Amino acid sequence: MSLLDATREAFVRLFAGDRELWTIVLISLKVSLCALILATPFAVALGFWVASHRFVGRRTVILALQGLLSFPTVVVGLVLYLLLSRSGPLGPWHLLFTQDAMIIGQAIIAFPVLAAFTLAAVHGADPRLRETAVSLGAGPWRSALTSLHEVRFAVVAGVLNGFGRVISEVGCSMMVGGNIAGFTRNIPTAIALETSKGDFAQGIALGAVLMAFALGVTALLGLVQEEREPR
Amino acid sequence: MIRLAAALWLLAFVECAGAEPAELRLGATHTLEDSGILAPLVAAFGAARGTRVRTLVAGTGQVMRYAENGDVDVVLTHSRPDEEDLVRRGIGAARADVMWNDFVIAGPASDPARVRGLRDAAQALARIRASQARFVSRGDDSGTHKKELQLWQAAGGLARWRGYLSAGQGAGKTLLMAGELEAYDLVDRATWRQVGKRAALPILVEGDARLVNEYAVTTLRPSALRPVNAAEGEAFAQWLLSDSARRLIAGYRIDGVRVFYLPGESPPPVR
Repeated sequence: MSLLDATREAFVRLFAGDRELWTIVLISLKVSLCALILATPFAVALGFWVASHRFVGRRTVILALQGLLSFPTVVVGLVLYLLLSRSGPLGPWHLLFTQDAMIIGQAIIAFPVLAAFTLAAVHGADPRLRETAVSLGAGPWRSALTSLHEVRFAVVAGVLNGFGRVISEVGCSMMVGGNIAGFTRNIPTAIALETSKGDFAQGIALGAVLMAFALGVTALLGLVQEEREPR
Repeated sequence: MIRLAAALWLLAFVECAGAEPAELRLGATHTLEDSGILAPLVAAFGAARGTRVRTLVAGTGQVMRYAENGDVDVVLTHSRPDEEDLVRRGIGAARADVMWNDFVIAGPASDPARVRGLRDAAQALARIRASQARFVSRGDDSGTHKKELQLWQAAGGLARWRGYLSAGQGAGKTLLMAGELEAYDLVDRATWRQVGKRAALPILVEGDARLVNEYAVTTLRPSALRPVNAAEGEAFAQWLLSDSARRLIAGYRIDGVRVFYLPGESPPPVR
């Protein structure tokens, strides 16, 4: 099949509502959104806490977080596989080759992105804001919320970036999800499989959806940034 | 300074771009790779003929597409209808049997579908489905997958159930996955021997005549669209039928057990 034919076939499938194709898209969205929901509160809390406290080893933590930004996802997959494998320490949970395993993997991958964005934003925020809040009688929780409110756009930008990273991630999902059709087969693992099977139409169609997501996220990021500028 | 950098870049570029061209591109199946026989075969041929071999490993269906696209010079696969079809369509030049073994159904020792000891592979599949137990299918259009679909045909058609998992991966990975999930798996005996140690799934069903697994080499006809290296492909096919290749195949052992047989050789003694 020529590239042109494959592309035409791809768009036919996209718009004809090919069930297999849209199942894969939904699985991808579900897993990545769940991963972000799981990771965001912890990552934001950590980023905020590190940014607003002085403690021994703080520099190391910051360096580690930044280093983790480029942590290879296949290594996350490898470690998670070993942990979740039947013979591994978490084997009795029976999580390997399930969506839960993929969600955990993607949450781990998204975590440093979210934490680093929050950290940088809180760092860059005007310290007087918090001081003012405290001087106006705000408790620690109240003043933290005020600070977070101030950097909310940066946190949203972090979430969008994290989404961009996990939705297109293939290594970890393939290893701990197992690419099971209709269950753990998401867009990136499906594209890898379809290419190796020679079904390029399906690969192109899924690639188009993935690029649409990427463009959508970029557009949203732009909006978020604009929102922040005129203040 | 800039000159030095430019020179270094040029040097690096030439180094990267000047990768040696492969002299023979071989399309081979996952089962050959996962059973471990592919590496010694390729190494022995390379040493005997002095040819550099680049092997592309994929499921038989995909290897056939490599052949159609002219991405390989010769193919070593295990799906007779596809190989004969390739020759009929004029893409393949000639097909020759190289070796064979058999498929088995491996599964959890607890055997929830109670198939242990069955001879009839189709009946075994039907029981697995009836018990709603897990079954991991290759699902990748490979020779093993095609065999599985044939068996489902004989079992009255494949009606997917919740436990039917389509992995889309190679033989070894699928078997490991079945081990993790305590699922049944149709796998060739050589891969089972090689990988089964780590999957801990005993053989439950074997001996059905339909479970025979034949490997054949198919040479490809060059054309303007597919400028394949027919000479080296032919040399590889000839070598596979030579005495030294036959000795290698007959002598190949996994943990001391022979797993491949030559065409026309009598079946292995009852296990």
